[in-house]
Amino acid sequence: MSTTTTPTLHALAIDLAARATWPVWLAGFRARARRSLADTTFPQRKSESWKYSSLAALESAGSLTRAAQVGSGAIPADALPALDGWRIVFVNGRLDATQSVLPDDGSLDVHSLVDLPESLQPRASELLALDDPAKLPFAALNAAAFSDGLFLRVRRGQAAARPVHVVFHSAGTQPAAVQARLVVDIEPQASLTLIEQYTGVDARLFTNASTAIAVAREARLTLARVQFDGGDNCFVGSLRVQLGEHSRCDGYLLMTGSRLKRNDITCDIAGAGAELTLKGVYLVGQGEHADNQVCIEHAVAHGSSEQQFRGIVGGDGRGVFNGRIHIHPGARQTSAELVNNNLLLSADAEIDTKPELEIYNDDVKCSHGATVGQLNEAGVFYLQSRGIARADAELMLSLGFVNALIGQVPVAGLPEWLRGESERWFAGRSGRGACP
Amino acid sequence: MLEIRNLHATVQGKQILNGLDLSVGDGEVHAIMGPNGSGKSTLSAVLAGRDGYEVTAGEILFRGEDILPLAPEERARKGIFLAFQYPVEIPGVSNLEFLKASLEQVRKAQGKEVWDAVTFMKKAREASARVNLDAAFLKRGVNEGFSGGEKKRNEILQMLLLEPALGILDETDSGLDIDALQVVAQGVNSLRDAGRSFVLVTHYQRLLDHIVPDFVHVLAGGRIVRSGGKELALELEEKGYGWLKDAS
Repeated sequence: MSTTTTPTLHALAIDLAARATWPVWLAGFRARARRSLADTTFPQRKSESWKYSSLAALESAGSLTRAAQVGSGAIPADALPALDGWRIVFVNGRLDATQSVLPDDGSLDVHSLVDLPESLQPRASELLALDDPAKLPFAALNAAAFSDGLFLRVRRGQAAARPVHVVFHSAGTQPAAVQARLVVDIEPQASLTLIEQYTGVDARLFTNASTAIAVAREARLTLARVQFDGGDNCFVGSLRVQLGEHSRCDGYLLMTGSRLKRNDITCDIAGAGAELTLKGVYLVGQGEHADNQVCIEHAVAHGSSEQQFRGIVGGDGRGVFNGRIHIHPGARQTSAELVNNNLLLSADAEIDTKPELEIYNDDVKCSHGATVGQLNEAGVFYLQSRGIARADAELMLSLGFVNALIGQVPVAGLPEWLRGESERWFAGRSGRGACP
Repeated sequence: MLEIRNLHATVQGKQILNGLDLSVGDGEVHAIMGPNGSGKSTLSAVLAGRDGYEVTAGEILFRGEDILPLAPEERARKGIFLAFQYPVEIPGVSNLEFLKASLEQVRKAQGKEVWDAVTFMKKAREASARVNLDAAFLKRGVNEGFSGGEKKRNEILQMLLLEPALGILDETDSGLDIDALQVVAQGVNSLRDAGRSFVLVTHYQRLLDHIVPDFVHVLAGGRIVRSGGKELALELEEKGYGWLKDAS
């Protein structure tokens, strides 16, 4: 008698990690990651933070059974915005110099993690260790299994002269897993505009991304994470941003849904007077899923965070937003604000939104709110009264709802591309319900 | 142009219009005045086809055609324009984008040439200059963050571009300073011609100092209770609406 048992995600992850090759200098880090992966429980629906996101899509795709081949997939031209900046392309987790326009600027150090100079290794190790593998099993998997990644440093007091566009592209014809790693160190009083983009063309690739960014004292970061990839992809990614004293980060998270899309985002207000703004747009259509778990850790005094997320969910899509603001006992004079507005385009669309405030001192200014609604009827009528058909009016209003945030992205060329992509998403994948 | 016969309409089950009759000939300007709650705004909304206003009896003929079965956008394409009392803010949709979409639809439906991008921009800039609205407003979200006066100027700007056969101004004069009032009046006056008609719904006589109507009607209790020439507006200004109730 023979029985077939399906290997668990956990077993697959351990197997995948065991087969990974890595640079020698990371051996210690790897060993720890593998141990922590062995102790990790992969999330189930009963765990609160994965209540609304099923890993079934990942299991059924079989993507975890092998690591993606070193790819040479050319990225379709229209998959990338035309930006006046440097471009660093990774295909299936490996640097692809042929598709990159590498920085030639003295203010920046750019290295693949494989070739990282010894002098930078201690700092890179610190940043790699920012994420807690016990809390984020996929980050543990990434730590145990990644083959390469990017280390980017902006030197003290320098401003990167052009935006840096880092593209993680997944390509292949077989189900496979891609581990993407990005480590960014912005030294005191330095500044950087970073566009972090994930693209993918194959139906059954799983991208597991991990990004850690340190923004030192009085440094400044403008960050756009762009995830307008195909609806068939699976993506899980963590993003950790650590903000030093009087530093500032303006972050923009812009995405469509996919078979599985999950972002775990943690921002540490770790230095007094640090300022964070975070704006996000998610478009989730028929058969799509997008889950954003955002946590702001106000650890010290005089920090501020301001978040505004807007989502549109159509068809039978599901959007999930969890916004946690954790204000520690010492974080006096903190100002924290969170708004999440959602629009449902059809009766089967679902949004699960939950703001969570945890406040451990009295000297704070805090507000949060979430709304879920349909289009503003007064606006629809206004457009109709000018000759615009109801369906077109609804589309204009929906686009307007997200364009109001997209228009604020301060990277030349990016809002225009995002607007075009949003229109394409509405035209094809939005699963807009029939008009009554 | 416009023939309203025995119009009855309800809003949320409440009877607002009670057998309203109105006949507007080509090239005429009619002012509809009346106290608060008399049904003035309901009449505007019913003419434009707003949801939630139910016509229970009567008919509205526009150039001989019954428009009640038509959707708001179809009425607009036939040349009916409503300047809103409270223009709606639409963040994220630029004024230009909105005007372009509107003009394309309306001009196409009317068999007029659809303007190319260059002509459109030129016309839009001219229109904004005519209503004293800085051209920068064209790039902003529709009415987004506009003051009350700027919103009303934006309504007139749209009317100038759309060149409707019938313009309905729903209390466009309310809350306007004298400069904005003159902009509104000039907008209407510049469009006046033998083939174009206007219905001015207003609470006050002062707009009629600047746009001289051919006829003035008093709406009370959902019906026209009195009609006359422009001098009727002055009489109303002097005596208020109370005496009409006594008379009717």
